[in-house]
Amino acid sequence: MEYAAVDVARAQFAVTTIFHMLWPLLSIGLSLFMVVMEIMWLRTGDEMYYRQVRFWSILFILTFGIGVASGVPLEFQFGTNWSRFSAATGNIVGNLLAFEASMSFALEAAFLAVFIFGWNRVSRRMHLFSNIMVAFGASLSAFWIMAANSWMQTPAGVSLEGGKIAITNYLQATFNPDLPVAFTHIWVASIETTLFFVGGICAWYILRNRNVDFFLKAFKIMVIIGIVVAPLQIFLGDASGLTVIKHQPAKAAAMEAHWVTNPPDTSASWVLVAQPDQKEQDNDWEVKIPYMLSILSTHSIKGQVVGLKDFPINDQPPVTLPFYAFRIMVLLGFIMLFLVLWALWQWYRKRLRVESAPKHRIFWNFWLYGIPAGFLATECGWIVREVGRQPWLVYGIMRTNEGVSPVDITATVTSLSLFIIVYLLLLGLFIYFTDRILKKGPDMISPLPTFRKPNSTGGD
Amino acid sequence: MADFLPMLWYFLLVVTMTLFIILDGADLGIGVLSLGVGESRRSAMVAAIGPLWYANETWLVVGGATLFGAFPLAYGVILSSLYIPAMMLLFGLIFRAVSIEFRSHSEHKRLWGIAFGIGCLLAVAGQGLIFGGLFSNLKIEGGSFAGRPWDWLNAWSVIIALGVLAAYAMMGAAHLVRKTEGEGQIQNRWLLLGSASVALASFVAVVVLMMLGYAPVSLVWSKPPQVYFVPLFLLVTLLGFVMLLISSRGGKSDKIPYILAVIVFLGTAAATIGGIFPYLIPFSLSIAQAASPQASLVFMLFGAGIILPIIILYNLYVHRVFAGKVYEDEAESNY
Repeated sequence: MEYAAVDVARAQFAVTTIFHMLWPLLSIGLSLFMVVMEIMWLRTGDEMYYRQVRFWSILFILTFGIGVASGVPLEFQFGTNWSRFSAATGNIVGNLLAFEASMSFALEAAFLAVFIFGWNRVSRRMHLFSNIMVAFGASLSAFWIMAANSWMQTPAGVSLEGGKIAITNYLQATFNPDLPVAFTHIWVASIETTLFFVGGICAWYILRNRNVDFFLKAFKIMVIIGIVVAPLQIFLGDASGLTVIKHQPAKAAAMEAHWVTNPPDTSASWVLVAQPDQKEQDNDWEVKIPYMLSILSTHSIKGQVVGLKDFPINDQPPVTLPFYAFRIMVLLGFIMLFLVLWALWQWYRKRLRVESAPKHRIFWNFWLYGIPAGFLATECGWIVREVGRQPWLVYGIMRTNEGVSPVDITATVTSLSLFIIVYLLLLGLFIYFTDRILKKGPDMISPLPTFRKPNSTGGD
Repeated sequence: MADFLPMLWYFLLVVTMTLFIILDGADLGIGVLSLGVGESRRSAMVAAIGPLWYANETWLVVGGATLFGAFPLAYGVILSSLYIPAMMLLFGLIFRAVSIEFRSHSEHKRLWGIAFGIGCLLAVAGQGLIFGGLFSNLKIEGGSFAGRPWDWLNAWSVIIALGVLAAYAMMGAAHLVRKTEGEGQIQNRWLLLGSASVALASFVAVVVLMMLGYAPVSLVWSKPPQVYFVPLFLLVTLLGFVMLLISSRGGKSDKIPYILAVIVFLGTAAATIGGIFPYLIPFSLSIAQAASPQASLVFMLFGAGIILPIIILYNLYVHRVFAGKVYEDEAESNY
C-alpha cells in the first residue's frame, strides 16, 4: 500500500515536471532573444527588429501562460504529495523556492505586464528595461530552482541529528557542489532549445517562401548564438558527467550500465548499447568499446570507474531508463552541433540570401524537423538526473518512500489522471494555436508604438 | 526574541496572502461574474484584468513558497489534508491562465470565455473550501495529517466557501466599477449590489453560527485579549458592508466601493487572524510549532524578506502604469 502510494506520487511529479519543463525552457530562451532584438531596434532604429520582438512575443506569452499554469501546481505539489519531505526539508528547499518566487517570478510577472501591454504606456527605454527584467527574472528563476534541485542531488551544509535534517551552513547548502554546472547546463540548454525552436520556425517560413527576409535575419542571429552554444553545451555535459562521477557514483554507473569496477591498471570499456538486467546485475547483451569509459569518465586510459555492483541492490538506481535517456541526450547534442555547423557552411557558401535561400529545401527541412531536438535532449537529461538519483529523494539522506504524503491513493490517482488529460490537451492546443499564429505570420504594417501618458483616458 | 522571527515571518505571510486575496481576488471574482454575462461584456471584463493578473497571481506563489520555507510543517499538513480543494484551486488556475491566452487567438471566444469563467469559479471554490476546511477540526497527529480525504467537506465549510465566492465576486465587481464608465459601469454597480448582499448574508450567518456554538472550530472572542478587538474588527467589517451596499447604487465616486470592499476583506482577515492567534491551523498547530528553525528564518529573511518591499514598490509602479480606464485598443489587440 505504502509502496503503491509512492509510485503514484512519483508518477505525478514526473508527469507534471516533464510537461512543465517544456515552457520555461522556451520562455527563458525567447526572453533573452527578445532582449537582443529590442536592443538592436533601439540602437539601429530598424523597424524590422521591433516587428521581430512583437512577433516572437506572441509565442512567448503563450509559452509563459502554459508555463505558469503548469508551474504553480508543481510548487504546491511538494505540500500535497510530499508533505513529509516538505516538513523535513522546508528549511532549505522551501527557502530556495521562496527566493525563486520573490526574487524572480514576481519580477518576471510584473514587468511582463509592461512588456506585453505597455507599448503605448511607457517610453521605449522603459519598455526595454521591462523586457530585460522579464528575461532576468526568467533566468534567475532557473537558478533558484536548480539550487533547490541540486541540493537534493548533493546535499551540502547539513547535519543529521536524531534523524532530523538540520542545515548548518546555508551558503554551502545553496551553493552546493552540483549547482554551478547543473545551472549552467540547463540555462544553456534553454538557449539551445529555443535556438532550434526559433530556427525551425524560420525554416517553416522560408520553405513556404513567406517573409524570407524577416526570418533569415532571425535565423542568422540564431546561427551566431549557436556557434557558441552548441559546442559549449557538449563541454558542459562533460563537466556535468564528472560532477556526477565524483558525487553520485551509483548514478554514473547506472547511466553507463557499468556493473563491475575495473581492477587497477586495467581499462573500463564503454557500453555503447546494451540490455541491462538489474536482477542478474549484468547486461544480457552489450556492444562495448574498449578503453573508452576510462577515457570519458577519468580522462585517462587506465582510470578506475566504480561499477554498480559496488552498491547494495537497495541503493541502486534503475539502469535501463537512465542508460538510454543519457544516450539519446548525447546523440541529440551532437546532431544539434551538426545542424549549426551545416548552417554556418550554408552561410559561408552564400546560400542564406533572400533570393536563393528557399531553394535549399533539404537543409531547411532538417532545421524544421529539428524543432523538438532541444526539448527532447533536455527532458532526457532531466530523466537521467532524477531517475539516477533514486532510491534517494535527498541523495544519501532521505529515501523517496520516506517523503511521501499520507494522502489516500484514490485522490492521487484521480489527480494524476486529470493532470495527464489536461496536459495532453494543453500540448495539443499549444500546437494548434502556434500553427494558427504561424499561418497568420508577423505583423508588418501596424504603426509603431506611441507613448501616451497614463490616465489620459485613452482612445485617441 | 526566540518568538520574534516566526512572528515576523507570520506577518510577512499574512501580508502576502492578503495582497493575493485582494488583488487576484478581484481578477478571479470578475471571472466568476463573467459566467453570467454576454460575450461583449465578457470581453470588457477580460480586458479589465488583462495586464495585471499574472502579477497578482504572483502573490499566491510567493505566499505558498513563504509558507513552505518558513512554516514547512503547516505547508505539508494544509496541502495534504486539503488535497482535493487544493487540486481544485490548482486546476482552476490552470484553466484561467490558458483560457485567457487561447481566447485571444481563437475564433471561439465564447467557448474560451466560459472556460475562463469556470476556471475562476473552480479556483475560488477551492480557496473557499480550503478556508472553510481549516475551520473543520482537521485531525493532526505527530506533525502529519491523520484524517480522511473528505474531512474538509461539511455544511460549515460549504457556507464559508459560498461566502468567499460572493466576496470575491464583490471584489471583482468593485474593481470593474473602477475600471469602466457609462452604461457598463451602471451594470457593474448592479453586480456589485447583488454579490455584496450575498457576501453580507454569508458573513452574518457564519458569525451567528459561531456565536451559537454550532461551528466545529470557532474564533476566540470571549476571552482577553481577543475580546477587546475581534468584535471590533467584525463590527468594522459589518459597517464596511453596509456602506458598500449604499455606495454601490447611489454613490458618485467609482473608487469608494473598491476601497470599502478592501476594508471588508481587511476586517474579516484581522478578525480571523486575531481570533485564532497564535495558531496557524486552528486549534492544533501554532505559529511557533510550525516554524522553521531560527537559522533558516534568518537566512530566508536575507533572501526573500528584504526583497518583499521592493516587490511591492515595482508592483505599485506597474499598477500605476495601467491605472485609469482601459484603453479601447487594449481590449483585445495587444496580444
